[in-house]
This record gives sequence, C-alpha cells and structure tokens, in this order.
Amino acid sequence: MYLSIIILPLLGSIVSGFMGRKVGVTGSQFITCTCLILSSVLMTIAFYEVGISASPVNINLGSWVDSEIMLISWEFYFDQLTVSLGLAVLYCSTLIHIYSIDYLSSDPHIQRFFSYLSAFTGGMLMLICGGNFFVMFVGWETIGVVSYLLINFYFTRIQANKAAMLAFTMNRSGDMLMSIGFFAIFAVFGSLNYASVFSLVPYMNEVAISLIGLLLLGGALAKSANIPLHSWLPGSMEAPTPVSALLHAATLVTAGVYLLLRCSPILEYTPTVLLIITLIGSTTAFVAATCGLLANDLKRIIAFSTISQLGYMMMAIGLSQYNVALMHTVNHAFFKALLFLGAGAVIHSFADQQDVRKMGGLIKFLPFTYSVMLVGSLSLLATPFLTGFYSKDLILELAAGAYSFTGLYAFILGSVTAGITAFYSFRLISLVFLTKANGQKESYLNSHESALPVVIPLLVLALFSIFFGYVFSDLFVGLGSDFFGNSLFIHPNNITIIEAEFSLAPIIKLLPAIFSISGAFLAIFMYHKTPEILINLTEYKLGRKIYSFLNGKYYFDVIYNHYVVSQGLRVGYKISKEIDRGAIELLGPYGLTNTFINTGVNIGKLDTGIITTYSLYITIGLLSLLFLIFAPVLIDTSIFSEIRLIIIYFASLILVLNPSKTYK
Amino acid sequence: MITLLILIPIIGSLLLIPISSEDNIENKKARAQAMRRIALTTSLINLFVSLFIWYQFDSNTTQYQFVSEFNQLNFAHLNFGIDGISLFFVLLTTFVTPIALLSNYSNINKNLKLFLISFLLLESLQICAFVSLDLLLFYIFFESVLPILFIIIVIFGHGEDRFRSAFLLFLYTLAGSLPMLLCILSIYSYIGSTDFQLISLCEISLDSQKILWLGFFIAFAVKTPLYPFIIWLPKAHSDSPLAGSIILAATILKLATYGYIRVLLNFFPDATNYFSPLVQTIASITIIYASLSTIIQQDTKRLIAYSSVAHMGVLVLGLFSNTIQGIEGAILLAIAHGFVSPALFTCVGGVIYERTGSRIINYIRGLATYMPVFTILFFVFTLANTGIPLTLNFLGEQLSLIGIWQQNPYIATLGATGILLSACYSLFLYNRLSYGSYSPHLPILKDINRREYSLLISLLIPTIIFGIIPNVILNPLHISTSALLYSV
Repeated sequence: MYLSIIILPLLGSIVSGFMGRKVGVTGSQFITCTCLILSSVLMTIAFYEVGISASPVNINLGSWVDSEIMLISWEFYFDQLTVSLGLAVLYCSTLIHIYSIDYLSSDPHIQRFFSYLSAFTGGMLMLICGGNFFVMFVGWETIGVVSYLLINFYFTRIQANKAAMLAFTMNRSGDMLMSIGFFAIFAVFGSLNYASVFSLVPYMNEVAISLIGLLLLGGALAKSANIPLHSWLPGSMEAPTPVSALLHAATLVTAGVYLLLRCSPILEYTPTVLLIITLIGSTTAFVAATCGLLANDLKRIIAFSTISQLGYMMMAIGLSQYNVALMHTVNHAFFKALLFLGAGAVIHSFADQQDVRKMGGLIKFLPFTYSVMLVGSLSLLATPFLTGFYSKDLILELAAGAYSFTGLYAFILGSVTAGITAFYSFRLISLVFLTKANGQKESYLNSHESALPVVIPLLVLALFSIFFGYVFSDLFVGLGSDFFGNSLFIHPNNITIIEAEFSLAPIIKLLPAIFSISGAFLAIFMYHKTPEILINLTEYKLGRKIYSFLNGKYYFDVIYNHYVVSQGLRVGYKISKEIDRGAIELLGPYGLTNTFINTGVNIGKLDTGIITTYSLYITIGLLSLLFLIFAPVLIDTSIFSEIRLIIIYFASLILVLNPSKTYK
Repeated sequence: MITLLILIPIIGSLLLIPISSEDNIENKKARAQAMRRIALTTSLINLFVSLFIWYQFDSNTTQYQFVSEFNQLNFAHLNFGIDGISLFFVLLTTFVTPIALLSNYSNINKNLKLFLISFLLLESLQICAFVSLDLLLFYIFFESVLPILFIIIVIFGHGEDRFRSAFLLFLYTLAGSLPMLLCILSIYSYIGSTDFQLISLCEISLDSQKILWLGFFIAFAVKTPLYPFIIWLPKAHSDSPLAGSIILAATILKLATYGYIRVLLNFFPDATNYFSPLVQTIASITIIYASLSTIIQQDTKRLIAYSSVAHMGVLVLGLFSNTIQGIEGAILLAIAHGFVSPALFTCVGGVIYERTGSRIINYIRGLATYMPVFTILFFVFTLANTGIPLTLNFLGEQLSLIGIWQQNPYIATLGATGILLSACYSLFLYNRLSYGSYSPHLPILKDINRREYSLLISLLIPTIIFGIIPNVILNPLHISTSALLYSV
C-alpha cells in the first residue's frame, strides 16, 4: 500500500505521457485523476496508520549503491512528518488535477500537461518518502526538472523559456550546495542514511555540523525561494495557473522546508545555523511582502505572498519550532492553492487579463470566486479561528516568547509583515472585485463563473482553509502533543511553547492582529476613499523611487544579471578567446607551425647565390668545426657531459629564434 | 575468449576486402548494403561475445582472467587478460562500435569500405589496448588508434579545417606519448620486463617513481584531455564525421582513464600520492575553465566536446582521490560519459546536422514543434549530461566528488561547481535548440527515423538501468579497485 502511494502518480504520468495518443485527452485526464484520487485515499489511510496510530513504516527495496563503506538502499520511510506533509501534497495535487481538466480544456498538449503534473506529484512523494539523502535527492531533482518543463509548458514563449531556465539554474545552484553537503555528511558520518546520521549528530564536532547545516540550508533556500535565491519564483508565474498553484504554492516550494524539518536533529546542534535561518526567514518575509505591496500582476502578488509565507516557515524553523513550521506549511498549501486557483478562475473568465489595474467590480459577476478568494485572503492574514491563524499567529508568539535577539527580530519583522500582508491582500481584493469596473466592456460581458471541475476544488480548498487549522491544530502544535514522535526533534533547551502560551503580555499577543486589521482597513480606505494619495505618491521623486524600487524587487535580478551572469559569461569568453585560442595556440600548435616555417625561411635566405657569402659560410663552418674538435682541450668541459652536443643545440636555436616576418 | 574478441572485427574486415565497389549503380547500392550489414553484424557478434565474458567473469578474484598468451611470437610478450577494470572498458568499446557504425549508416557512400574497415580495426585495436598485460604493447595499441583516426577525420570529415584538426589530434597525442615511451624503456631497463604483473611486484624508489610518473602523466593528460592540452579535442570533434566523434568521446578518451588506473595508480602509488595535489589542481582548473568556455560556444559539437572536457576533470578528481568511492565513481562516470556523450553527438551532429546542415546554435530554434520525439530523447540526454539522479552520470559524479571530499574538501567544492555549470550549458543548448518559436529560416523537418531512434534508445536504456542498479557494474569492480589501494 505504501509503495503504491508513490507509484500510482508515476504510473499515471507514464501512461498519460507515453501513451497519450492512445488514451486520448479524456483518457489521460481520467487515468491521472483516478491515480491521484486513489493515492490520496491511500495516503489518508497511511495518515491514520502512521500518524495517528504512531507506527512508522520503513520499506527497503534493495541495494542501490554499494561501494566500500558507502551503502545506499532504495529505501522509503513513512513517519509522522512524511504523512502530514504527504496529506497536503496529495490533496492539493488531486484537487489541482481536477481543476486543470476544465482550466486547460482549450489548450493543446493536454496529455503532456497531465503527465507532467502527475510526474511532479510522484517526484514530490518520492522526496518526502525517501529514506536516505540520495533517494530524497532523486525526488528533489525530479521536481526541479518537472518544474522546468511545466514553466516551459508554452514552450514557444520566450518569457516562459527564460523563467524556466532561471528557475532550473537557480535551483541547481542550491543543489550544488546540497550535494557538497552530502559529501560532507558522508565524510563525517560515513553514511547517508537518515537513521545513522541523525543518531550520531550529538557526538560530532560542532563546526562540522554547522558546515553541513549551512550547506543543506543552501539547497533549501533555493528550493523554498528564500533570499538570496528567491528571484526565480515570481518569474515562474509564466506557467499555467494550476502549475503556479501546485508547484509554486502548495508543494515544490515546501521541499526546502521539508529538508530542514527532516534535518531537525542536525540543526538542533548548530545554534549558528538556526540563527542564520531565522534572520534569513524574517528578512525574506519582510522583503517579499514589500515587493508584493505595489505589484500589479495578479499572480505575482500571490507569488510574493508565497515567498513571504515561506519566510515565516523558515523563521519558525530557525526558532526550532519545527511542528509549527510544518503546520504552517500544510495550512499555507491549502489557502495558497485556493488563492492561486481562485486567481486562475478570475483570469480565465476575464479574457486572460492579469493586471489588477484593469479589473474591478467583479464581485457582481463572479460572486463565488469572490467568496473563496476572500476566504483565502482572510486565512492568509491570520484572521482568528481560520486555518492560517493557528500557525501564523503561533509563530509570532513563539518568536516573542523566545526572549532572544533573533526572536525579537523575527517578532518585529513578522508583525510588520503581517500588516503588509493584510494590506496587499485587501488591495488585491478591492482592486479586482470591489472598485469601479476598469476593464473592457467586452471582457465583462463574457465573464462567467467557472465549470464544475473548477468549482469543486475551490470549494474543498475553501473548506480546508476555514476548518483545517481548527481541527488539526491541537494534534500538530497543541501543548504537549507527542504526535510527531521522533520524526521532529526539538532540543529541550529550545522548547519555548510554554513561555509563548503563558508568559506573554496580551498586547504583544494582539500586536500582529492589530497590525493586520489596520493594514486591511488602510488598504480598503486608500483604494476606495482616497485613491488620489497613491497617485500623488508617484509625483514626488522619493515616492517614485520607492515605487520603482519595490516593483523592481529590490533589484535582485539586476544584481544577478549584472554581476553574476554577465561576469561569468565574460570570464568564459576570456578563457575561450585568450587562453584556448590565444595563449595555448601561440605556445602550442600555431606557435610551433610558425616557428618551423620561419626557420625554414631563415635557412632558405642563406642561399643568396653570391660567392663571397658562401666563402663566409665555409670559413665560419671550418672555424666552428675546429672549435668543436678542440673545445675539450681549451675549456674545462667536465661540468657538461658532452659539450659538443650543447654547442650544436645552441647553434640551431639561433636559427630557430631568429625573428623574421611571419610566413603566410 | 579474448582472442575471439580481438579477431572477430579483423575477420569482419577481411570479409569486406574482396567485395569490389566498382560496378554499375544498381549493384553498387546492393553491395554497399551488404558491406554495411557485414560490418554491423560483426560488431554485434563481438558485443555478444563481450557480454558473455561479462557473464562468465568471476568478480571474487584479483587475478587477470581469460588470460591468453602467445609465446610463438618472440618479438613481444603478447599477453592478454581482463580484470574488473578493463572488463568495462572492453564492454564499452564493443557496445559503442555498432552505435558508431549505425550513426553514419546511410550518409557515407564514398569510400564506404575504408570507413567500415577502419572502424572494425579501431575496435580491435582498442580492445587490444584495454586487455594487453604488457606495458610496451599497451603503448603500441594506445598509439595505434591514431593513424586510423587521422584517416577517418581527413577522408570522412567535413570542413576545410579538417586537415589541421587531424594533424593536431595526431601530433598532440604522439608528442604527449613520447615521454611515455621513454619511461617504458627505462622501466624495461630497470626491471627487465614490461609485464604488468612483474612490474607491480617490483618496488620502485620514490625518486624514480616521480620521474616515471610524470612521463606517463603527460601522455594521459593529453589524451584525457586536461588543461592546457585540450585544444585538439574540440577541433577534432567538430571536424570529424559523427561516427568518429562517437568513438573519440566514448572510448578513445577512456584509454587515458584506463591508463591512469592501470599504470599510475597501480605501479607508482607513492608518486601518485606525491603528485595528487598537482593533479587535483589541474583537474579543478579544467572543470571550471572548460565549463565556463562551454557556456559561450556557438558550435553545438564544440559545445559538447568542451562539456566532455569538464566531465573528464571530475573523473580525474575521482581517480586521484585515493578512496574506493572516488575510483569506482570515476569508472562509473567514464562509462556514463561513454553513453551520454555519443548520444548528444548523435543528437546535434547527426540528427540536427543532417537535417539542417548547420551546427551553429543561433540558426536553429523551436525544434520541439516538428520533432517532438527527438526533443524528448534530447532532453533526457541533456539531463543525463547535467547529472540528474537516476542516470549513471549522477552516481559517477557524486561518488567521484564524495571521494575527493575525503581527500581535500576545497578541491571537492571547486569540482562541485561543475554541477551548476553543467546545468547552465546543457540546458542552454537544449532550450535554445528545442524551444522558442520555430525558426522561419528552417524548412519543415522530419522527426527522427527508426535508425536514429533505435540508436538513441539503445544509449538511453543502459544510462538509466545502470543508474538505478549500478551494482551490476560495481560488483566486479570492487576487488580490482580495492587491490589498487590495499594489498588484497
């Protein structure tokens, strides 16, 4: 049963991809969706067996690599962490598969699309179910490759190509760091199995552990789109919207978070890395939220919100609150998938318009979509008792309850970010749904609520966004819940849940909520009552600068393009031009050819046809010969074994090195 | 058994000789077809013989197996045998030769007999180089492939520059090998024999080892190739016919890999240890320089040739890591490169070049529109070239670098940049050729035909299968590689 959870999506992908022509569009949709639904059902059973009944499963399929002390098996491991995340992954994937049936109905290559989607789900499952670092890495790379293919789904568009390549190469730089991490893990522990590595961590040198933690963090930053490796995520909004929902909200980006959660036994012994993670996470949350503040592309706003929420997850990990981070990951998967799918429904029904400034007033035309988007947004900004509240608010409380510098940093930035999140969420809602109609009349006339395959996923996700947190919060993050058993390790020194629950002043607990409410009201006020302020903002020099700075995404792309990529290309050009085809050619073949030709020409020049020149040669030749014969008598040649040979060599060198015009 | 392996291609080429190619046109076509069939069948029979050897191979002994000795010939100690290391290089050779013959199956009509015979002979000579148990014979066979390659490039290559490329290939390798010959002679004068087993029994002092090591290293570094001896390779690749590129990438470069293991690691362990920082430096320079200059190449075949250089750098790092993982990883990478590099050459130098007549990246765009099957295969090989898990390249690269990390973490970090850079150049090539809107300057191209498909699929299957179960390769390797590092 456990293996079929992983195999079913892959099977669906293979059938849909390689036999797409045989099974047809409907067939491929039916097969992949059925596989996914079956897999979800099995995962639910697994959640009961492994999670609630607390009995982890280990499946060993045999040896993969066996080289001296390096023993790696095809090993799958299902524990509480796996099944909790797997539940979110499979539910979101299944719903998105169903959603895509309608959403892509007018596109070509539907079999290809469903094949990619299923392959992605399979890769993600392999990632979270892998029992050692190598099997995990198989899934890790699979989702990287499939995300390249999915972003590139409309492969004739240059923007899609660029975004896909950026995503892949940037992820690859994370993979490089992670691979180096594997090398280090193997060198330190002599094994790449989770069980062996994690049980040995306490006995190892802290510097080595910190290094490993940093390297793994590098991989996680790239996959989970945290600063400084985040800039691929907004670009990848070129993909069809279901892809954005699946990859760039619910599943792919959580892979990095999963890696860090899985490595909690390593991280717990490196305070340095934890500190760095918190700093990066809080900064990411803030920076991404400010980028989303003034963005105008509907999907990009949600993308920045994703990066910002990923920052929250990292923040929680850095504060050692792994179960809260996991809870937020799962919650975020549901409400962010909802937001993306809702955005997709809006875009699709409104003539593929993505610019929020050219929408407005859609509440009358798309009431259902409006309701689910509102639910998603409210859940995102942690409205009390909705799903997002149970994790996001707790993260901030835990940050405040840590009573440390990083905790304070995370709390302040996190609370401010909560306000900004509320602002851009309500900005989106009001610009798209509430304000005056700014779009074309034609689009309004054609706008319509979506078909049933779109409505069902939206409805289910909306229900999850409302109730999931309430139902599961006590299980996941409740005080004293031992649900996660050994799968997440929190060092006793780092447990701060008691302080967070009982020692904080009410004002601190309420601060994020106050920020959120004021942010939301500010957005509605500014975009409904006094839109002039925002227009006037760009009249001033400073305002315009801030506007372009935020919309330029803090110029990260510019920095990368200008200083990393183009410099790399320049160095490559230099190497190719000045070393390969320059120095090596000159010292090697080209130089040698020239020298030989020149020598030939030089020797040829001796043949002048004048008697007196020849007599000079004869005299010089005679003198040299005499010198050669008498040299051992005249000079002490014991240092050289054979002086005559050396003299002849030197004589020939004179001819070779004699400069002359290059012969052509 | 090994004699059979060597003789079958020679018999095949002898069969080809009496077929005359001067006749009327109708007959000529049929005869050409017959000649191709004979050559292909011969190479396939040889493949099956080598597979049988693999099946019969005993992986629990350090002895050379299937040893055959010819004492009747008194000018040299003709002595053949196989151990775990040479087994896979022989298999690679017998596997790649039919691929090479198939790759230019239909587009060579002039001098066809010469073409087929030279590839069959090349196969024999390479197998000889891999199985001979005598240093002098190894040198002779190591060099003997050069004239044939020279002929292949000069006669069947394209472009005006091919003469220069062929000369470069010839002279570079020949000049590099001269120190090796001198070293072999001095070994002979010290020990009185050039037999592998005898040399490995002798203790050579560190000072002599250093000098001998350097002599051999230059020869192998030119052949690998490592910086600064690389420039012959991209030239030779870009001007040789497709089959030549395939053989060159898959097996000729592996002669150097085999040489490193067989001679440097085996006979001069102290000098290897002494010089390994030097080698590691050169190899990491090779990885980074070659990768960076790969990114800006405009010629597809040159690009893949440069990427080969970068992969060879990783391989050398693995070999000189002084760990079992590193050496086994390097051998895995050698085998994987022997599958993937020919496949990429077939994609760009065969499929695309035959259809468009161009190898310049900028002229080709949007192939996915009309050639979907080809694009899928091309994509999988591109991924394999970047070392994605489930391909053999991944295991080779990771094991090599894991090995070198235990020796020197900094070098391993430098070597790991190859992981990122390989993704950059491979993906750029694939994306540029396959995606984007279809170039208006291209005619409507046909998707790959059955021959090309079977060619690529037969390279794809082993890459994936061995990537999932590498133990079939690793098991016979264990004892032989352990014998390099420990006294077993």
